[in-house]
Amino acid sequence: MNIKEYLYKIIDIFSDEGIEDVELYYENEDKKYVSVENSSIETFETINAGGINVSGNYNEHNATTYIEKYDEQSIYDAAHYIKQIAGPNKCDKKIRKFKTVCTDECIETNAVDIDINNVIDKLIQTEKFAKSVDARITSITECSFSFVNNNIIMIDNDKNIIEDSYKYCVGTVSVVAEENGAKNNASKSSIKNSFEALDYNNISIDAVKDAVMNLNASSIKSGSYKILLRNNVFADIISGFLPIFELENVKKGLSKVNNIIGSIIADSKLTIVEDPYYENGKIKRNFDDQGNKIDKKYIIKNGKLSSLLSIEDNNSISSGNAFRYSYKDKIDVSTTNCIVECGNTTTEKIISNIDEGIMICDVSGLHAGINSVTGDFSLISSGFYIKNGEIVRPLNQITIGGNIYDMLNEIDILSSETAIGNIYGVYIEAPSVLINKLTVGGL
Amino acid sequence: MINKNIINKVLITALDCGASFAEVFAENKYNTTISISNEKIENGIVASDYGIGIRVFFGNTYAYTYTNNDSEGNLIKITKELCLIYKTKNKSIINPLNKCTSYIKQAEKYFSKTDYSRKIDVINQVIAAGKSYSDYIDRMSVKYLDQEQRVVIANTEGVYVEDQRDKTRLLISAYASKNGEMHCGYVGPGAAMGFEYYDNLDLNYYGKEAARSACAMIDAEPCESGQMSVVVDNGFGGLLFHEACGHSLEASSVAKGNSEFSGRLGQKVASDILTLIDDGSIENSWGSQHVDDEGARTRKNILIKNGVLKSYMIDKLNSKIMKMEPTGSGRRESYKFAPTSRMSNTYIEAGSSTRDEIIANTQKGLFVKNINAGSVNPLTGEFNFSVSESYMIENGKITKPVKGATLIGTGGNILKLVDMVGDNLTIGQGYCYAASGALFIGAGQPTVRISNMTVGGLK
Repeated sequence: MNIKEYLYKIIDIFSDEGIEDVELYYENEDKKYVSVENSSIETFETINAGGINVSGNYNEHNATTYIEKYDEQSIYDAAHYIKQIAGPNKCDKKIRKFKTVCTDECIETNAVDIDINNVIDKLIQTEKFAKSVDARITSITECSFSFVNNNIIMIDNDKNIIEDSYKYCVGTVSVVAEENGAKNNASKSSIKNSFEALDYNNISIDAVKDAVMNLNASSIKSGSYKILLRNNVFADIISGFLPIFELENVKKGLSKVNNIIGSIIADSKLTIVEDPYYENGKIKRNFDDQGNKIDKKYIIKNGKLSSLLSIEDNNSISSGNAFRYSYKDKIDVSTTNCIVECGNTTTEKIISNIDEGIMICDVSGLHAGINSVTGDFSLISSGFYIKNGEIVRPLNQITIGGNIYDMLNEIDILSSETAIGNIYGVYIEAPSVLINKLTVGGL
Repeated sequence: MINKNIINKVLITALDCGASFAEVFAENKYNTTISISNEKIENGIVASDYGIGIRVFFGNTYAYTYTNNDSEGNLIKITKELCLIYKTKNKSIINPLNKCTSYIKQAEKYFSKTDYSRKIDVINQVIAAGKSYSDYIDRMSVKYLDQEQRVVIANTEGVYVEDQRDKTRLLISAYASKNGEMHCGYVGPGAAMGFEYYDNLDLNYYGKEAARSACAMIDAEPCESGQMSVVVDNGFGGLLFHEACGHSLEASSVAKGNSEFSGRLGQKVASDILTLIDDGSIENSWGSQHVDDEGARTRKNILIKNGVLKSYMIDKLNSKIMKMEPTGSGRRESYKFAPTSRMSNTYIEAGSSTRDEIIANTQKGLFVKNINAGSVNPLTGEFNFSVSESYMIENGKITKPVKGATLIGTGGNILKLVDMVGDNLTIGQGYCYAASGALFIGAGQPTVRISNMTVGGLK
């Protein structure tokens, strides 16, 4: 039985069980991961699996469950769960009819055409190259490639089908540098739409630079400083604060953003675009997970609020940002690929104009150090102390703290070079950003 | 779930393909998640997870795959595909699987047999208690979780076990608002028990405690930045040591020299008054299991004793690399992950001081009542965590609440700066996110003083 036949079987059995208006979301992940160590394979993972989110109306209430084992018993179990929880959950009846449907095949073939042996050869070369970039590099702790291809099938109450898919490749190099007993590590990743597009040499050079430049780092006196957030750091901070742009959070008072499109929320130099078709993005989709066609849009344009992000429910219409983290999860607000538009000045030029300040090159603890309700943040950081336009010494064991609403209005300059933040979260690409002042915790 | 014959065929297939070791992990998990915010059910779901993970070793490296299709044909096919890329072939012999050893303990009250409405009642009782605490509480959000996870684990060394992990937890958030400012207080009680856990859990206490924490911070000033003494209260404050040194003692970091504690067994790494333990066998504790996710019995591992490094947490693969015995520490979130060494219930053993003595002895510092979350770089030992409820200590007394504090440091350094350990050990419940997925962990300690730490603040 192929997957579509199984999906229709769910609808039929549910109907027999008294569950109507069935909505289905099928997701299958085809993933490969390989890493090398000392010129041979260290780890290999290959996955081709997924699940089905199932919801339906029973006795005037809606309920949801999911199926992982594709057999008939699982469908009956799922029906039982829905009937058990629909009444107590008291969730309103839901009707889902897609506004736009796929009349053509929207998805690419399921076949994944990656020559793993070719990848392994490239990774072995990369491992040797990374070690050769600087004599202080003592080990390569990760040299890896991963490929993800997600196929999605959604079926609405009229049995209309939408099929969508996205794929991306990630290359990662992590290194350890040592000098005079001091150790430091750094990791760099790149996301592209094909293995061939990954520039492993560049990834290696960037990882090595970050590892060695922070050797023998030390802290600094606590205080307020001019702060240059390097592009990857600004991307990470923005990703942590995306919930402030969710309409539901604005309405509930969990965000200080005004519910007024066009209101000023940042310096006029700041523009953030969401682009679901961005070639080198991570999530490239035609539809969101409620079946709405999605398109490129501004979130902030020249400092003014352009969009609030929402899903389609009783209280709001969709902004095309309805996604599930996985088939197990409910629909929630998320983004595809966000790009912070860059400026015209190189990072080097920005540094040369700083009398005294700190460049932050890395932050950690985003999951804990960000409060999207109040806008406060306090993050462990590392970087450089800048004096009279020059980098003086590396810094670590410091925190940067502030409030996002103040920070967005304190933007002085944006650089011309962009980078992505953490590859595990939503895709954000940003330039380096000079902020007039933030609090630094140190000595 | 999956019968012994099929498991045997999968294991033999892996060895025939040249693997030196193979393991099958089959999982069937009933689970419930209910989220309620101010009496409105935002999400409520009951489902069954089902899948099989297959892991193979080729020397000191591993390959992993998983599937939801448990047919013999599919399992053999994916095992062969998994082994295909390896050029080096071994010739290993399988130890036959004997009778399956069962560690399943009957629960008093199964979640799968407990009425769904009773679970909603538990949540609503917590919400009512929290809202009654103060008029400043304008929202209570509670998430209820339960699971009955049945696993079968078998490998080519003859391990063949089955276990059931019944667990449940409440994640309770209280939001206090005053003059446009909002603060969240949080508590998260949980246990490795069936629904009988709620027969004796004081739901009113926990609802009010989350509300108390939120209200306590509503008028808090921003915390100042700088160096000061830090007193971390008992319970989930143990997250400090979970981050500061726990991850750095996992073999996944130690084995390849990527930890500040690599190669330091027998050395003094901490204060004399510090003993750190990881114990996955504590009855009913949130981070406990009868067997780890490689099929080995969990146990009490003394990691640091009176300041001396005694042991690491070691999984099967890294035990080969380190040439040391595994310690029952192989864990994974589910069949979707390969296991690696991870913490279970990690705590600092009780000392002899009282909390009041510790505070009275502190001239100036920060009293950390509740911790949010944190992270660590095991290589350098640099860690951080954010604080959700804290107060200044001035002249031996707790004074004003302060907000926005982040504690940073390096594990090796912090361990040596512990200079007072309380007698009031309790273990809190949490989650840990790392290579083998999100795990239930216990983190605990008595009240502990660190003589000097860097505190990041908002001023």
